[in-house]
Amino acid sequence: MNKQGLGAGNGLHMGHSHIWQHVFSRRQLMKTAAGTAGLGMISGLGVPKLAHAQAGSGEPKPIPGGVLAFGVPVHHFPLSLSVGKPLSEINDPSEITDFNGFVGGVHILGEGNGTGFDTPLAFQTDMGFMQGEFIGEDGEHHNRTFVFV
Amino acid sequence: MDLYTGPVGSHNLLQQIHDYSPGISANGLFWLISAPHDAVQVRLGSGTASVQMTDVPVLDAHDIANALTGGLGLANPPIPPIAAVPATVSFDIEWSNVIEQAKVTNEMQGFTGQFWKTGATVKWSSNQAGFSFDSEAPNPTRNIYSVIGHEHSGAFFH
Repeated sequence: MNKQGLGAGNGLHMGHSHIWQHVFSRRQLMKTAAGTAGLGMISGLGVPKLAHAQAGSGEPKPIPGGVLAFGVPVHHFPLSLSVGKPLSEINDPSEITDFNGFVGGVHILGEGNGTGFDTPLAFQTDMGFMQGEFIGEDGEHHNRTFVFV
Repeated sequence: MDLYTGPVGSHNLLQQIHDYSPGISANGLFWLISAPHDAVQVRLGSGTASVQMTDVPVLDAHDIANALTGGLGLANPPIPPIAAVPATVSFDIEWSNVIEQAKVTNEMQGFTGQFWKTGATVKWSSNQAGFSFDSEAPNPTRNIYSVIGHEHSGAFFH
């Protein structure tokens, strides 16, 4: 990839900004999430157990709202869709609700080297963390650390 | 964590070649993994934080569309279905250099807290059958938007 690979102008694109679309309601999500293709596709591939969290477990609950991404409702808000947006207008950086703790989020673009490519690849990282107290699906209080990957 | 052979973004999905995430849980938790307590270090007083993890098992769904549809692809824009494959990622994220500090309350989203907008860097890598990736050295100029803070949400909101 050449330098153009990071986009025009200031060399940076907002990446997911076009993907995250309309805010949706919890009702809309509950109606569609069960039918969202592929939510069960993650089993059996060695991903962490949290990926299989079930209602009634001690796992955290997702934030009640979110956005539509390609028509798929997800319990996630992008931090900010504008680089210059004031801090007061950020979306909830947390992926979990009923939460009392530390939280962080990053949106970083860059480049690096991948096997089989003579020129650098462009990357995007939209990540974060949550650390502290939460009320789990079991209704109990827990204290744990999570990373949004 | 996405890789592209061209400019990053959904306008360029056909040039995305890797999309790493732990998947979406049965209850809807989005791309979230449990982590050891010491993987995350937060020092709000100095406006710094870090996250370090090594060899985290994830899925490579190839692109964001297949990550969200569980490998079914999309009709529009046309993205062919691709099944996810196992991979691992390692990352070191650092937050520092406070840009702005504010108390934020969002009634609609149900959260409030004290937040710091900061600079940030990331160094990360991936490994899977036939492919590995190593990012460039941490570069503060690559940061788009980063925050740390302490928040209360949901039952803790009021």
